[in-house]
Amino acid sequence: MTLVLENVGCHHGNTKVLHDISIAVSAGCTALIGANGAGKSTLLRLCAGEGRYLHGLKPDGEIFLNGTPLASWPLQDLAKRRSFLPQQHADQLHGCVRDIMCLAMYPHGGGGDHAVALYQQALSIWELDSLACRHYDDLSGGERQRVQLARTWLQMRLHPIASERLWLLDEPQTALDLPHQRRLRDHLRQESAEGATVFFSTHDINFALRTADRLIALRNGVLCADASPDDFSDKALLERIFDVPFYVTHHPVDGRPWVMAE
Amino acid sequence: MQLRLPRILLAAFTGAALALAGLLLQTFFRNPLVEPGLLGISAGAGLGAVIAISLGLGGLWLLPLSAFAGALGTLALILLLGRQLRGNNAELLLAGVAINSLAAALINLILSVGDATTLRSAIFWLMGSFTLSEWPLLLASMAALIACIIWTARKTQALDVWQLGESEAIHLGINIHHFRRQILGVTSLLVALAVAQSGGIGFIGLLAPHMARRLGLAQHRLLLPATLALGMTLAVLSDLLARRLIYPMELPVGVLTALVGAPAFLLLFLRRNRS
Repeated sequence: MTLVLENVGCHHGNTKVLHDISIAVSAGCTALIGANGAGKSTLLRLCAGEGRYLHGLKPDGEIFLNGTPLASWPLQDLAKRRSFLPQQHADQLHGCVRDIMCLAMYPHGGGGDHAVALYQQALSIWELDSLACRHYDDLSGGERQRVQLARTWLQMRLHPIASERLWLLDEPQTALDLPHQRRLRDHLRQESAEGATVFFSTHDINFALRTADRLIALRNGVLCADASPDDFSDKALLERIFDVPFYVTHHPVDGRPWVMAE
Repeated sequence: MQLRLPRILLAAFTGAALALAGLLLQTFFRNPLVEPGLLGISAGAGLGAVIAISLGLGGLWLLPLSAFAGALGTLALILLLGRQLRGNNAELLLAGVAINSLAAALINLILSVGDATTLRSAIFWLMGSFTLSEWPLLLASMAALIACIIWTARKTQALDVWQLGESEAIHLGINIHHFRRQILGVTSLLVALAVAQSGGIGFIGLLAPHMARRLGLAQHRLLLPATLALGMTLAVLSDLLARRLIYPMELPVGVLTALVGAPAFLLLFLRRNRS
């Protein structure tokens, strides 16, 4: 799936939170980085098509998905091909882990043998087997995040063709412990290797550097960098994005830049 | 039997309609404390009824019809506000509370200037009763209730999705504008039909969906039948008690649902906090 943004801007009341963003995101793993409040979540939510329904999230400019304006996509078709992992989840959800995960089947017209098999796979990937019958409200923050990831995963995997999947994830590594962060990274990389479009936001620059093949940076709602991980060996680039001095080394395994704020 | 049957039918209808309205509203607002009275629709119906009574239009047909008109007027106001307050359910709920107070104030205003007969029959109506007014009205209402039940049965999965939040509903392919209007329309219709015939019956709309959830049900395909059954049972039992407690006199059933419902509700809370 190819997502094209042309001069996209967005206002929250009188504050302009996004200015004139023009980018194209296609198959592969792309990270959206930037400091808190840089406009990452707003940009992702616009890419998900929320602007069509939510007051206060009306974009200026145009967003195209596979050449068709996002607003012209039939909602159901879009929901079969695009998933969105929100950063914040509802405080209270009725039902157990299984109920919440199975909501992912809604756009695909419910379950079947195939859906049940994928559901079982989602449970084992996100290590939720022992939690399937637990109440969602009783889970810890990290466990809830895994349930939401599994739900997103299921919604995407129910579409049979990898290249027809658009993953939008807002801070997916939030609340995850290191083993699960690694699992998440492996999955996002595997999905994008199979041809899906993965576009996720994070403030964790090292997670982005090790997961994505391309990093797009926002600073105060303005596009400020569009670079490959290797470009981040340049401290000046990092300092332009985050406004603090950086120390750069390289990861011993994959040789990608590994950075720390000084 | 000829006296009992219509009464039981009306009680069951009212219980089912209010319980379903409560279930839909609690899901819609993602808030277990919401009940049909809160949007002001019952108060609007009450206002319509009190106006009819004070004008001396207390006929068998005119009273429920003017109550229904009052409920529809309130519904129109809520839908209009819902359009203005797009995507802001908290404000919509507050607006409903304000409409509720407004209608209650107008009722009190009319009652305070009305004569004693008006006052008595209006208050009796507001306290609720399952004394059947007209068969055709009940049959039409039951047909409407069945239509609402069928609509809900077809939307159970969408209602499950709705609890994730509005953004997530969009992501999973729900046209939230249509769905909002549909939920508000269906609940208002249910409340209007129930209140127009039975007056102010409190607590069933709050209690029945609550109890269904307390039974461990979470999915709407299970919550729907459970809530309907509980609503009907509560209403029929309350009516039975209302007729038997101080026999041969009769208690207003609205008083009884609150008398029994409020402590039952508190008990549910206490038990939850203990466990």
